[in-house]
Amino acid sequence: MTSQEWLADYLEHGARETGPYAPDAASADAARRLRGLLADPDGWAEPPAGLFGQITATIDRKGATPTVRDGRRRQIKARRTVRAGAVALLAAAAVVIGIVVTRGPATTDVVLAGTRLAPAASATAELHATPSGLAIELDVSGLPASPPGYYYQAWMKGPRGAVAIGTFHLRGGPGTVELWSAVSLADYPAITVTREREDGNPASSGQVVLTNRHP
Amino acid sequence: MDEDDLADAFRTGSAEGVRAVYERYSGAVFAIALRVLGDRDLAADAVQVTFLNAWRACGTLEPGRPLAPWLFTIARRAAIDLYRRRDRGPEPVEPADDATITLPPSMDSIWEAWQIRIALDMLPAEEREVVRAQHFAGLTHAQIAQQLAMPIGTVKSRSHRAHRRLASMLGHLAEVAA
Repeated sequence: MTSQEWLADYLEHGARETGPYAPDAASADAARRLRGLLADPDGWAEPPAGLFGQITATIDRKGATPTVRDGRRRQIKARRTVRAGAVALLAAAAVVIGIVVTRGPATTDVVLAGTRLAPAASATAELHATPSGLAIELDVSGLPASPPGYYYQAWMKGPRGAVAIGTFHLRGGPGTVELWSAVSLADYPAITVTREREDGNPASSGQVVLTNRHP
Repeated sequence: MDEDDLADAFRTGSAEGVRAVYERYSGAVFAIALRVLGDRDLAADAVQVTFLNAWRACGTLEPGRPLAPWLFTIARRAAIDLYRRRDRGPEPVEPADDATITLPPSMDSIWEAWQIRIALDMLPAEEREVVRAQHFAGLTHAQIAQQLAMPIGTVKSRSHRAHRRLASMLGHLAEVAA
């Protein structure tokens, strides 16, 4: 029995004696998760009837051709196009040296929620792997500009400690902040933003305003 | 229509292109929206936003770029945007406290849900019907045969073929070498 035949058998029948083939623990866990998802009612749900009619009606109201993006989106798109080019080159190199990528999209998104210090704040951190480190686009909303004498500092935290990944103030209004990290999300899974005073102390104030930490 | 033709049709922004993409992917978009939002009405809103945003951006879908991951990115973002806009749920906690902050499902789990739904939608209708009865309704092969009024041997062979197809399409998610 091959690994794929084992997976087919597992998806169909669940765990049972399958002869000499034995998957590793990670594959067995993943197969169990997949089988569970096959039974998830949400996975079988259909969108409401008539929804497509609403979509086409909206398109008709907006005109016969797609609208042009606004300036900020064009700017972001231009940056992403450059990065996509770099990613494409890296991907081509990876193929040459025989690396096979088997999992989903190249970027990772992390959602951050505001704490009691900034309950209206939220953010999405879009992490892109580059040869120099992680490029992070932090799209922040609901976080007020830091007052004079204060600033915001972003951190990645893990069992080995905390690494500062950039500072910002948002005095030009909400938007996307560019951060860089030399450490990985796998090793430093918590991303936080703290409010800091300009007092020359490089340590974190502990005043967390945004975090992805959850139970 | 294969994926390249579908992408070409969609790239024109025509109603036919939008309809074809909707017919193929609306189930997957709805499934991941429901997974993120847990609410059918909000998930329907996310589907609508997804297809409108995709239509607006259809000119940015470069020739040769796969349509499904591109649409997945738009759909996930639409669902998470709606998630962030709705009521925030539990009271935010003290900064030093790592306790409850409600967050949407992880990128990996949304991606899994997307791929599973697409794989299910790619099964032939008669095989999909058997898989649905087995996993969604929790029926045995004998019960499925009775419900669908067909010989149990037919149910077993359809189930066997369907699960082999699913294993082929989803093997990479289980990190099983195909």
